[in-house]
Amino acid sequence: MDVSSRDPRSFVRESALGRHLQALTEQLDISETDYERAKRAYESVAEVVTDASDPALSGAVIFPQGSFATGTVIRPVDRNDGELDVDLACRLDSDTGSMPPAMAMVLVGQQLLTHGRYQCKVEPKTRCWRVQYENAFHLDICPLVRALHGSADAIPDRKLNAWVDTDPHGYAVWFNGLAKQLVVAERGAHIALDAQGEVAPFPADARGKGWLRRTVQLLKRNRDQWAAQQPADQGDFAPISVILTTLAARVIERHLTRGTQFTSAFDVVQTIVEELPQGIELRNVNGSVEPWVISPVAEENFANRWAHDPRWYAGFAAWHTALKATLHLLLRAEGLHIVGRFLADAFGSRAASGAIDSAARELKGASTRSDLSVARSGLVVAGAGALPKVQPHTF
Amino acid sequence: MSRPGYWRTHDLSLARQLAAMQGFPCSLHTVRLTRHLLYVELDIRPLAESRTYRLAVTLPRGGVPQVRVLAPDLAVLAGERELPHVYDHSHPVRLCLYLPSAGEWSHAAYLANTIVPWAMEWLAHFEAWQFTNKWRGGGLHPGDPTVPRSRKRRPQPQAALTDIPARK
Repeated sequence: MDVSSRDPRSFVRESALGRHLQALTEQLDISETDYERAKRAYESVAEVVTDASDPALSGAVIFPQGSFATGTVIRPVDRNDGELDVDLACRLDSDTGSMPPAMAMVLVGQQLLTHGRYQCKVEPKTRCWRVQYENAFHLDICPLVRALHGSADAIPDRKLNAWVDTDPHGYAVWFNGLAKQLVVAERGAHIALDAQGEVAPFPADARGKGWLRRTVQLLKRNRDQWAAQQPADQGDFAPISVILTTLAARVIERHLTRGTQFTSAFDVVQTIVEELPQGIELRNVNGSVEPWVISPVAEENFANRWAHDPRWYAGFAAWHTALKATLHLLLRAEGLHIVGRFLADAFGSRAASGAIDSAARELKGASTRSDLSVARSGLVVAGAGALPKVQPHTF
Repeated sequence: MSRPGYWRTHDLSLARQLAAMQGFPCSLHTVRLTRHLLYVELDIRPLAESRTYRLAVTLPRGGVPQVRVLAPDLAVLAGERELPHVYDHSHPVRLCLYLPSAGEWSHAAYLANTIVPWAMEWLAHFEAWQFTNKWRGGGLHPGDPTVPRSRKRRPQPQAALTDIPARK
């Protein structure tokens, strides 16, 4: 975006909205307790599967996949409604040529089923085994083998009774690479913005999570929030996480290639949201056009269900339109309380309250430290360089 | 400008206070400057993402400054809730911005560097409070054990809004 032609207030506004969204994503992160619980469950399942006496399981490798591997886990909207899920892959030391798909499922499943600890809470899903824990938490474990052609791995599909191309590790490497490159680009943006004088800096990202991961968290939470507000027959067709993650990363991939200089965190979020559908390919399959969301690393269509039921694409489009509208409203909101209300509608009231409260605390902290100045756009915290500081006082 | 005995030498005249306000990044609407009183109405936006508020700042010569919010009506916005840190709850609400006894404001301080930014902070906290119900601006209430004694008295109004010279 052309920096020079823009109204300085809209700049500071976007910058402030970015900080509110950052505070909001911190509310979306799972708690330390949940993280530890997930980690312990992961380690314990890994131990059970890799400890097997069955020689077919020797040399099996366990690794996290999905949101834990990409750093985009979010806590469920509420404990009664959503579940925290951890996805992991178990790559067997075998290949699609020497093992039938059903066999791979059985090998991993029997290991979980014969182990006393998991017996009663293990169930087979289409492409994985699910270990259900108490307290709204489950772990999905997918068996993988090496693919002989094309992709790195293959996953058994119970319904198709066939191997399906996949590459969860390659996917995580692709996504994390883009997330990291964007963090580096953000640091560049930080310097560029400081040179503008009055504009508050791009929010420092202490944990190095970066705005690709944060945006994916926002998309996922907004999707959950949206789905909960729809009638069941529409809410069930909300886009799945891997589609949101892939489409978001595709946008960033394009912009990194072009060398786009994002002007604020909000600019990153808005660009991703606006351009999200560009990653949906239309493919001609046997004479009919199907929307595909293709994996960047394997011949895998994440939107494989979209071709069978038009309600999937309709669900994506309706959700996407609503989120775009929310961002436009946020940009025009007059008042922190109005920002808060829009955030609550889009991302949940708990997360929104946390974000607005953190802005108020930050303001108070800056005032106490004599780190508050008055700029043309209003009060600004630090970053304002030459502007005189507001004297501390007591209300 | 100021006669000895009337002003201390470092005290700022009302005219200098006004000049500083005119340099403040906001729009002044009504300005009344007499020998005894400075009255300014100004529009401020506390934060880039805030709404605009019209304030009335009154400073009687040798008196204490007062800030009231003319628009919007904060009492209406607060609804059933009691407004935090105000001197009275009826429109136009007068904001409680500093501890009079703690030397946080003196006649040597520009309103533009103190009272007005403090009002902006107050309003930013007010906006957050409207949504979260939590007041994060801190502060002390009359009657709090740590409040210096003079704060417990209701501040003597030096000039009410009705004292302002009428518009011509």
